[in-house]
Amino acid sequence: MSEQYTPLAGEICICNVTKTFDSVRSLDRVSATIRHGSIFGLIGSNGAGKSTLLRIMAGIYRPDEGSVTYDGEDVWENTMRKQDIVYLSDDQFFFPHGTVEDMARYYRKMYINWSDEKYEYLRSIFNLETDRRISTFSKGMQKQASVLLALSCCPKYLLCDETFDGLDPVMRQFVKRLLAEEVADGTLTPVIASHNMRELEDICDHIGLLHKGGILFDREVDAMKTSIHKIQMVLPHSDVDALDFCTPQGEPLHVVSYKRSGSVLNLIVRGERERVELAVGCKNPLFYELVPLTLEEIFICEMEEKGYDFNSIIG
Amino acid sequence: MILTALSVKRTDGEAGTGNQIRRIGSHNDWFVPGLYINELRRTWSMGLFCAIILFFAIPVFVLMAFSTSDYYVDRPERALSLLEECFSSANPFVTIYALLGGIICALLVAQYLFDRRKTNFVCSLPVKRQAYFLSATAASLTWSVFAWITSLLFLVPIALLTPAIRSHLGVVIGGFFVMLLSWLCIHLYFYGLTMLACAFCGTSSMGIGMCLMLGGYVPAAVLSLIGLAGMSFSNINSNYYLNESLFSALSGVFRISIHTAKNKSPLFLLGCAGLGVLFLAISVLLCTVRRSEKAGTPFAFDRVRDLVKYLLMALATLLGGMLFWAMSDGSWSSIFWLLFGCVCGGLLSWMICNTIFYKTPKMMFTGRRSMALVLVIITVCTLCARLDLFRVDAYIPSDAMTRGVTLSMNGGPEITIRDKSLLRIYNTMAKNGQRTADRHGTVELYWLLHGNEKIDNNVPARAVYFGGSVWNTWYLLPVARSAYALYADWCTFVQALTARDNFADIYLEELYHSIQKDMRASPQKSFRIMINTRENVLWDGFEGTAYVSGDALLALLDIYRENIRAHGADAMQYDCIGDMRVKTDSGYVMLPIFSYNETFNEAAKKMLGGPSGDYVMEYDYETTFVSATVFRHGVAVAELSEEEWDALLRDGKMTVNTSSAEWNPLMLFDTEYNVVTVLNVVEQMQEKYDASADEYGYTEKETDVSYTNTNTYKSTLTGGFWLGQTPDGFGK
Repeated sequence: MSEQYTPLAGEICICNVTKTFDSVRSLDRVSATIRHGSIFGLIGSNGAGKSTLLRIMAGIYRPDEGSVTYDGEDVWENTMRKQDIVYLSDDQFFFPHGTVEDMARYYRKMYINWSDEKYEYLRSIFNLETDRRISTFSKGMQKQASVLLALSCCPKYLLCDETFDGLDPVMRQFVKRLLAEEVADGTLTPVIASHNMRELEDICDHIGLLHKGGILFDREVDAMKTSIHKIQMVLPHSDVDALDFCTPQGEPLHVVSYKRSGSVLNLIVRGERERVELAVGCKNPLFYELVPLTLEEIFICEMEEKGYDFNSIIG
Repeated sequence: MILTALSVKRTDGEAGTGNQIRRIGSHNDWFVPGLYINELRRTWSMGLFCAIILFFAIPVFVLMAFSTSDYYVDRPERALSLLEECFSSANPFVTIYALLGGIICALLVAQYLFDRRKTNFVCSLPVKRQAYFLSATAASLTWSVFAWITSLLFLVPIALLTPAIRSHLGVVIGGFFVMLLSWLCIHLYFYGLTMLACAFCGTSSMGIGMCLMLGGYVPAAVLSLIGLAGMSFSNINSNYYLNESLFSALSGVFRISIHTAKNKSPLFLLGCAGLGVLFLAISVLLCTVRRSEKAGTPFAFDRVRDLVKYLLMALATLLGGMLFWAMSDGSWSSIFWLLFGCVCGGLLSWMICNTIFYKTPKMMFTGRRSMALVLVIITVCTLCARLDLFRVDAYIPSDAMTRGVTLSMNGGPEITIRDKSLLRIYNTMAKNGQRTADRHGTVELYWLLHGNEKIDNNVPARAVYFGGSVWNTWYLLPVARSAYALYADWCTFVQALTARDNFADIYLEELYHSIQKDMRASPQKSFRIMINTRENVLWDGFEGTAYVSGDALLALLDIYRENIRAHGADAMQYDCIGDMRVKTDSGYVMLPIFSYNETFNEAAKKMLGGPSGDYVMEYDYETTFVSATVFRHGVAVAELSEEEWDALLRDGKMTVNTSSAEWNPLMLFDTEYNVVTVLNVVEQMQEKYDASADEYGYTEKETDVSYTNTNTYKSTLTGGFWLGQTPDGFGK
């Protein structure tokens, strides 16, 4: 992100954040902007620094360098700004022997925006026993309890770290729907960190990809999907190389992946759809089709481009 | 449905509105009332637990003490004293509670610093770190105060039900309040200390370890250095420095454990509270700067980790060297073992610390350069002490500084010389000498340092050395010219000494003077013969003391005088095989028994029933009376009745073995305030001893209750006999 960038009101602005644990650099000059009203998905490989980034955004960790600002103010030890940010850990803390009601009482004292009405409503639809010890809940129920409590705080930003893990499919869809409704209402911006791309694909409208402590890209999902294409085609000649695909003007296509399976050629290319189709058309294919990429495929592509060798891991 | 429900969100409006500002106003950077109340609610069980412990430690303890004896409930001052004592550090449960309670309560509060999940949770909350810390601390301290107050409230009905103090309720409550404040100060000290330790660490086990380190490292290091000085320097009497005041200054734990609350000055208590608050303030500061991700790791600060590691390593290096030195033969070869011990101690502690502090053996050899530096520094310092490279041990006071020299040979006759010409001879001899590794220790000198106000005040001008001394002890070190040369020097000195005309005045006459003092036979003024532990002892090696009656004593002394007169100055050339401790009008005199005292020895053997004729009294502390048993050769030979026991004491045939009666409260003092004996007296015998005191002209006075060990409440009295006036500062 450019240093001249002026954050808009309600934005969380991550600026050149670096975080080191002992000798391991978990985040290396990460910059991103999370606009209010979107659903921001934070994806990345294991150890990429997703949780660390979320914790820095929540004011738990202090960045070694750089800053995280919200509404133009540093989040670190800023009680006013942190009123609008709720962090949902992948392993949320509850008081030992505490009940949902105990936790609600605690959150009520901590968050000025706490809504009893919302709490009562969510409690009824989650159908949790609020006077039962949370430690006796299943993992999924504990997740539900944490979502229930977090949403009752009415935050502007909800930082979710692997929140959907442990939820059953029905409850997962329900929680997603809850989040979507809140976003639609314009009050909530969930930031969801996950390595489950399929999970994020149908809910996120903005994606940040972290890899080895650095952010690879930070784009809107729709724009991302229109800028990368998967093409299946059958060519009359079998001796076509990846470098042979050029536009009529002679500009080569940016081929990310090139695979041949019998007479079928699978390509993943970057660029505008029209330009790609023109280049493919120059080869007079017997058949071709542009297939939409899943988020997971885009992720793998991007990672492979950065040298992340999936084949070596699998193989 | 969802949409309908979600339309109620953010009812408080946007941040920054007046409503929010008002609500946030109750939170501030240092304290969050809501959090405090919540913590109180969550930790009520801790408060209850503390109150229950104190309930048993104080009210129940007092009730038990009152119910087992009417002695305390009859007289107001005794009852008040007991109440006070039950709430003072004489009550071990209270002391332990103040110490452990402070530590445990602090550890419970600081738990969030050790749990990564909870740390993340707390740090994500919209409160400042210091506000959370202080709110939780305030809740914890509130429960501590609650526990103390509850225990006090229980004492009020007890006081009301005790006739002797019913009318003194105001005094009781006032006293309790003062005690409460005192204990809270101490509680706060340990609480703050533990908080500080926890702020440095990331795990509870390391927090406890750090707490021990903060409370005990300095005393341990000083003790080790004194030990090193004691092993290295013969001229430094290390025991002189090992006193209570030193450790009181260095360790709060020690000070609190040895002092009664009565003796704790307001300044001391304020100091405790001040330190506690200071520790808490530093802890708050540390908690605001420590990284949240350090929760679960041994140390929150890398520099503290390194400092602790190298401090521990330095101590282990020193102790390792001293251990192997002590185990070796003490000669020059011990230098090898000293170095070996230093290296082993340093390396092992470094490896262990690294493994624990980094939580992996892979880091065992981290920081080799620093380790080597510390190892070399400590080893060199230890070696310097061992070889006395700084000539500490070779220090000889100047003539002007030397007031007198007390000589002792073979632990036997001792004589204090103040003749300047003799002192100059000695000083010259000592200064010419050089140290060698082997020590003979057969010749000892004690300087009475001139100009030391404390010594001047306590040591009479013609002081004779009795047992322990208050002045520095100096030894004549073996000199380089060999042991024979040393002996020659000694002989030169002794010849010069004995050749003087007034030798008898300064040695023998003084001895005779002591012996010839009035020796009345009485229970309080009986005397005893102590047998040394030397191989060629008078009575076949049995170590201990025997007591003889007054008449027998006078007869023995006559024989002894004859023996001394017969041998004169030659006495010093004989082996000293025992000591005779005689109580005179002005105190004790230790008389050496020489091997030439044939007639004396024969008489003593006969009187004491032949070889091993040593009697040791034993009695049961827990019963209402003493069941006195006479042992001989470790076998019980007779059971004494109460009357026989009383007769023994009255007739002066036998006194209680003071060495085994250290906890007894009834102490008899003479006019010089020397403890004549310490008796374990039961209350039924009080009247008899009162009568006994009258008979011997003693004035009865109440001793201070603080001198009574609480373990003996059940069976002992808190009284004592005093001769003449009460010593200054005693029992006040």
